[in-house]
Amino acid sequence: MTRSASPRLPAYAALAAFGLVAALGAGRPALAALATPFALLVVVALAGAPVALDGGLRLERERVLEGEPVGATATVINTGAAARVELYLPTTPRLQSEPVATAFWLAAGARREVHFKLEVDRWGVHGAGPALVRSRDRLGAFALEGDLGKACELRAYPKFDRLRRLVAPLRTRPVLGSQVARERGEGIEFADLRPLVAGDRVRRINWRATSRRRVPYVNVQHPEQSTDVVLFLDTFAQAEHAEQGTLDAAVVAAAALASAYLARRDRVALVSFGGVVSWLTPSAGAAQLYRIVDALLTSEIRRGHKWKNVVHLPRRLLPARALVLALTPLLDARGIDALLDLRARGYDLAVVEISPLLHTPAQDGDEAYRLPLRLWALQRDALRARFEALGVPVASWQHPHTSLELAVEEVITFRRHARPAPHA
Amino acid sequence: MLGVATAFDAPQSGLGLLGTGAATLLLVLALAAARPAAVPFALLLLGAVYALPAGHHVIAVPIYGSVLLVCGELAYWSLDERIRERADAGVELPRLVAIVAVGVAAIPVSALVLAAADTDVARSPAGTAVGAAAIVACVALLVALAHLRGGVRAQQRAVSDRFVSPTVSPTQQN
Repeated sequence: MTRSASPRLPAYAALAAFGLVAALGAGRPALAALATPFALLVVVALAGAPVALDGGLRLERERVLEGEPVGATATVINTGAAARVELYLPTTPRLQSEPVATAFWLAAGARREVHFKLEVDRWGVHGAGPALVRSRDRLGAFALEGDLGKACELRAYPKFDRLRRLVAPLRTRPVLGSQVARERGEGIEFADLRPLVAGDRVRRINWRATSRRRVPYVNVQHPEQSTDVVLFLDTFAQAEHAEQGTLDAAVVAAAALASAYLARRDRVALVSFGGVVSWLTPSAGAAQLYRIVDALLTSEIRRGHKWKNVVHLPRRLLPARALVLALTPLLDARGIDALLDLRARGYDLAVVEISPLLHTPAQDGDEAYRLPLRLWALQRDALRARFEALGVPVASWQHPHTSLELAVEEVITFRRHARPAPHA
Repeated sequence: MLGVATAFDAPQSGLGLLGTGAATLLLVLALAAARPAAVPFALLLLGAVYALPAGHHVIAVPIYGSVLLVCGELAYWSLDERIRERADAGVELPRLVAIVAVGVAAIPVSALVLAAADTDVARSPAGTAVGAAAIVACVALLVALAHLRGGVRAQQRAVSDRFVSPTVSPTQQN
């Protein structure tokens, strides 16, 4: 906290000194009498007890959903002389509070709580506070200003829609799960018939086929198995307009996909591939969802010029049978090359392209950008065709105008009609 | 009003009115431009308008000095209250009471000083020394207060600026 004196104290002291000097020099007692009130006020101000404050800021909750309001309470305790207190909670562009300070009188030893309402505009880790406080003594001669307590961390999680359908991986893990596998074994979904061999269970015999062929036949099913899904977040670059960008859409999509896959007992990994590479190894369960969402909260574009590719990732992060879902604006060549490299290594890859075209100046009707934008769109079409020629579906998602489900359906449709042969 | 009443009371009321007008203009400019530095000069002018012309004054010296102080206090108070805020009812009352109390208390103190200064004593080195010591004490206080303000001026401005502007630049990631 910073203590300061009102500018009038030195001014009054100077006036008093001037009046006394003038009275002494000119022999005019009236001047000394005129200077006396100013000297008296300075003496009274200096003789007063100092102001001192204590307190802190407390949040109603530490975790909220994007767009939800959250309450904050600032507590001020007067540990000095009675004072006039002004309290203000500073805001940031993504964490809004009331922009007006609150002023009140606080007696010596008294305590006061002031409530604020914070509006969270965007997901992320936000710092709320510390509250700014300024107090003045009774005469306003001395002021105390500073931060009250410490800042509080507020985690705002992205809001995402529930996905009803998901991209099915080409290969599964030999672990019980919810995904119908291509392999044959014990399960519910009927796969095929084959002749009975020693060791088959009697209840698997297909009596209708057996009576027709006069040889015992058994049913073979597709087992339900778990899968590995790797969410590949391209954080090399983003297109941004005002407060929203492609990274926001990527985080929302990653959270929605992770939630949906983990709900059906699959393992999900997260790779944030950009200027700084970070990852979460594949795991399942609710704890993994919290880990992924917490990791997504700290996602940001960090610019770097070093060339990176997938060899920098640990091997255990990319299981051989995993489905790699890339969430990328396809802006940076390093991100694009990493995806092509993954495909060349035989990974089951699908790309959700978060369209950066919505964040361009041409959307504002600026004619000068129209032709370059058309050329750029053609280049992006060529890039998309290159991926599709390799058997990688690229679904364009125009967040927030279209739903993520549409993009997922586009991937599913592509894979149904142009499915690449799985590598051994 | 003080200055005008005093000016008309003086033999050369034109000069007094001029001084009063200049003081009023300084005060108005100080309040309009939020410049507290001009206020002491306005008070000095009003004091000079009263003290310089010799002879009887319609307003007694202690009362004039006390009201001058209250004027200065109100001017500085107006400059302090420049941020938009939501204030509880009665939050300004303690300061108003304190200003009036100091103003009222200053009247008998000024009268005492006037009476003491008016006593017919021969000028002596001791008396002059006491007077000089009082002046030195005031100047020393001025220097100490100026030092206190100067040492925290940069920090104070940073905090006060955050108080005045409704939004601040983000200090956290994202």
